[in-house]
Amino acid sequence: MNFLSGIHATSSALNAEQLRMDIVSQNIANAYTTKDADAGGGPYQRRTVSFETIMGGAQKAERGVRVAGIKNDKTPGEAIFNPGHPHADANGMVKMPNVQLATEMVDLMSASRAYEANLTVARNARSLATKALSIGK
Amino acid sequence: MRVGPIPSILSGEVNPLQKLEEMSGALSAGMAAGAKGPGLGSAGPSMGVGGVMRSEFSSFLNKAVTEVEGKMRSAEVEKQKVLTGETNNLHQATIASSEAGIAFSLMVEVRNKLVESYQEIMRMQV
Repeated sequence: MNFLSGIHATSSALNAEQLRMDIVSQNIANAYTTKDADAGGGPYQRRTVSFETIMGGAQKAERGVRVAGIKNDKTPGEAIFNPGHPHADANGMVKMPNVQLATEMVDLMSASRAYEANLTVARNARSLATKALSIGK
Repeated sequence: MRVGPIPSILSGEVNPLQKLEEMSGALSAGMAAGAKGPGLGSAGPSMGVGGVMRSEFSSFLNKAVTEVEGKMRSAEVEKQKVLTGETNNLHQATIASSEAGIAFSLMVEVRNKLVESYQEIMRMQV
């Protein structure tokens, strides 16, 4: 029995958007991190998330979404002059992460709006099922 | 079952009373066929029509209750997972519990409808 139609796709989208928000918060948290083992010991590189469709659900044709991969953004960040910094090179320059707070905030907004949209779809499916139950009244 | 077109009834071509009789005949034949239908063969011959109906209804209700209980249990498991920190999929727990809620209201709705029909029949003038 599946009462909430399309709930599989919506649920997977909620999962995916949640991960996207987690990645954005990770980027913001590391906006000033100058050492990242995953990025070859250099400054932190911002991560980006890409999605892909998956099949599944009650009707096998229902297409959900999942995270295809998390990639490092390789664009170089700016270098600032700070000779007292432990990670400064011989010229006193420190390579900073390529995280732009404004970009991250926009990403965060778009992810949370997408999450809300999927929540609205779920709420709509629920209210439709409840309304269908009141046919007999 | 079609009661002839209204103009033919009005013009007296067709006797509506005769049509009604035909209809009631077909209705009781249908009921008899229903009582002999599949799933009721297990009932012994000593069991009256009432007994047959009861056994079928109770099995149906049992099935519905089991299904609803399964949904509620899975919702409970999801909720437990969120509360113990095993996952942070809040939405899955909420979706599961709202699905369980809808299944429960469907069961209640079916039960209400059946009781309503029963009361309607009991009110019938003999």
